[in-house]
Amino acid sequence: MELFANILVVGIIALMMIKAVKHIKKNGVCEGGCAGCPNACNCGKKQ
Amino acid sequence: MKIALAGNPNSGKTTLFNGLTGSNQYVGNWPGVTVEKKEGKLLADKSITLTDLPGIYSLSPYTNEEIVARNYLINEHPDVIINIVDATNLERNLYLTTQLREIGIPVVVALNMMDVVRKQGTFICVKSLEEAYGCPFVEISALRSEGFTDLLNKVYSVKGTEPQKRLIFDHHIEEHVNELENTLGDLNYKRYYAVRLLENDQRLGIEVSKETLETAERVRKELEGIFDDDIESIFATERYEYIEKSMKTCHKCGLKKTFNPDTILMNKYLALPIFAFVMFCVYYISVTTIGTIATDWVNDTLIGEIIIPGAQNLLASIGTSEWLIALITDGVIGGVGAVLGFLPQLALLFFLLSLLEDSGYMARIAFLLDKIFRKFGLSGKSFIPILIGTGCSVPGIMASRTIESESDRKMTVITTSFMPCSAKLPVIAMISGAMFGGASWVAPSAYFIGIVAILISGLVLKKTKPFKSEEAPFIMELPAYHMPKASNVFKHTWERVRSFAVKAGTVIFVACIVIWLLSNFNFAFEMVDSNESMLADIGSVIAPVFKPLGFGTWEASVATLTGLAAKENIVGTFGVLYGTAEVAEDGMEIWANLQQAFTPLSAYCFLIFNLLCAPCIGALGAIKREIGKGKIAVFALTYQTIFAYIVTFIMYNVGKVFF
Repeated sequence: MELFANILVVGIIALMMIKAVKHIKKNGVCEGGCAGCPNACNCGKKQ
Repeated sequence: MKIALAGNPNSGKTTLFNGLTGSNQYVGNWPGVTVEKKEGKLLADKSITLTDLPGIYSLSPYTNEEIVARNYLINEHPDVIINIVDATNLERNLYLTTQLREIGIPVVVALNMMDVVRKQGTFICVKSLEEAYGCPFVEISALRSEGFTDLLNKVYSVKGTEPQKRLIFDHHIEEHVNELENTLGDLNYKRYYAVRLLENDQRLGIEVSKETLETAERVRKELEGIFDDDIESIFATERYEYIEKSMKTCHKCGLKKTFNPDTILMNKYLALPIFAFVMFCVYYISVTTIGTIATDWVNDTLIGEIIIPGAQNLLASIGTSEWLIALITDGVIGGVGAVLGFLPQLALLFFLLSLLEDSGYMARIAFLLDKIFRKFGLSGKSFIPILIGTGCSVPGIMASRTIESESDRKMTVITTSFMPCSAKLPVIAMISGAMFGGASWVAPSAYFIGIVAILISGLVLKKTKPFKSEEAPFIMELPAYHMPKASNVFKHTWERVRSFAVKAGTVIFVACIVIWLLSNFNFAFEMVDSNESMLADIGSVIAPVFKPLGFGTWEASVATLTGLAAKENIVGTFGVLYGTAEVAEDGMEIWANLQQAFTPLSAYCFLIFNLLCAPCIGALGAIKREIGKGKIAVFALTYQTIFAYIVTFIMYNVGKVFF
C-alpha cells in the first residue's frame, strides 16, 4: 500500500515537474507578461 | 490585406489596436508605451493584419520610433494606413497626416477622442477636413469602442484606390517637388522620396542617381533662396500653414471651461508632497492594511488550516511515506504557498497603480521628477521605464527605447531594476511582516531607497566615459486626465496577477522541490537535519561573503542565490527552510524561525541587498538585449552587485552604532 501510494505521489510530482520545466524551457524564467512584447498574440512566451 | 496604424504618441493607437484585434496590449495613459511595432489579426476578419506602429510626430528619421514606423510603411507596403488623430489636439496631429498622405498609400484618418471633443463643446466639420486632405475622416472613441464599424468600412472602401492629390505646399515648392519626382524613374512612393530628398534626409534607405542628387541639391538651394530660410523650416512652415488654413473652416473651439486638476496636483510647491502622499496611501492600503488582511487570511486560514492539513490527511489516508508527506507540505505547499500568500497584496497594489496610470497622473510625475533627475544626470523620461519596472523590470528595461540619448538610455537600462518589481514585493512584505510587525514605513522605504539608488547611480555613471553626454531636452506631451476605464484597469491587474501565479506554479514550484531535497539530504543521499544537508554545505561556503552585511547564515546566502532565478524564490526558500507555512498552521503568523535568524537591522539589510543586487535572469537577459554589448551587460551586473554590497555594508555598520 505504502509503495503504491509513494509511486502515485512521486509520479504526480514528476509529471508536474516535467510540465513546469517544459514551460520554463519554452517561456524562459521571465514572466514579464505580454506588456511591451512586439507580438500581439498574448501567448505569454519568451520574446 | 495589411493595415498600418500610425499616429502621434498617446493618441490612442494601442487602445484602438486592442479594440480592433481583441488583443491585450499594454495601454498606458502616457506617451511612448509602444516602442516596437505590434501585429494582430482583425476581430472582424482574421485574414487582415493590423500593425500598431510606435507613436511618432513626423516621418523624420530622428528617433528610433520614427525609424521603425517609416521603415514599416515604406518596406512592408501596407494596403491602407489608419492615421489615428487626437481630435482634442487636431492642429499638431495633422502634421503627420500631411506626411502620411505624401507616401501615396491610401489613408483613413480616425478622429479619436470625439467624446471628449463633444464634451468640450468643440465643433469639427468632417466634410471640410476630407475635402482639405483628400482622404476619409471617421469620428471614433477608441476608449468607448465607438465608430469602429464606420472606420473599417472606410478602410475597405479605400483599399486599392488611387489617393486624391492635394497641393499642400506653395507653387514654387510643388513645381520643384514635381521636377525631382521626374528624376526618380519607376520608384514607388516617388513624392515621398522627392520631399525627403529635398529635406536633405540622410537616412533615406534607397540608392538614387547622381542626377537626382544634383537636382535635389540645386532645387534645395533655390528654395532656400526664395524663402530665405533653411529647407527643413520651409517644409514645416508650409505644412503648418496648410493645417492652419484648413482648421479655419472646419474647427471651432469649445467655450466650456472645465476645472484643471493640474492647478493643484502640479502646483510648484504641492506637487511633490502630494505625489509622496499618494504613493504612501497606495502602499499603505495594499501592503499594510487591506492587502494584509487578505494575505493573512490566505496564509493562516486557506493554506495553514485548509490546504496543509487537507493534504496531510489525504496523503496519510492513502498510506504515503512520512518523508513524501513532508516534501509535499513543507517543500511544495510551504514554498509555493509562501509566495502565493502575497498575491492579494500584489493584486491590490497592481490595481491601485493601474488606476493612477490610466488616469494620466503618472505621466505628470515624469515631468515633476525631470528637474530632480536632471541634477543627477538622468532625464524625466527615465521615470517611465522605472514606473513600468515596478510591475516587472523586463518591460521596464524595454521601455527605455523611447529615450533618444544613447548614454541616458544605457543608464536607465542599468538602473531600472533598482526599483522594486512585483517579484520583490513578497520579499518586502515578508520582512515587514516578520520583523517589523507589518510597519507601514517598510514598503515605501524600499521604493524610496530604489529611487535614491537610481539617482546616485546617475551621478556616478555620468562621470564615467561611456555615459558622458550632453543634456538632452525632455519633451513629452501631457495626456489628458480621464476616468480610468474599468476594462483597462482590470486587464492590467489580471495580466500581472496571472504572470505572478504562473511563475509560482512553474519556476518557484521546481525551485522549492530542489531546495527541499537539497535541504533534507546530504551528499551521501541520506536524509538528515537541514543543518547537515547539501544546501547547508553549499550555503556555508558563500555565507562569509555576506557576514559583513549582517546576514552571514547559510539560509540567507542560499535564499539570495535562488533569488537570481526569480526574486520570489527568496520567499519560497525561506518557506521551505524555515517552514513558515507550518508556523501559520497554528493560526498565528509569528514567523518565529525568521525572527530567530535575523535581527531587525540584519533583516532590513538583507532586504536592501536583495532589492539592489543583480536582478533575476529574465531582467539580466533584457539588459543584455537592450544594451547589445556583452561587456556593458557584464558591467551592469557587476555594478549593481557591488553597489548593493557597498550600500548594505554602510547601512549595516552605521545601523549597528544606533540599534
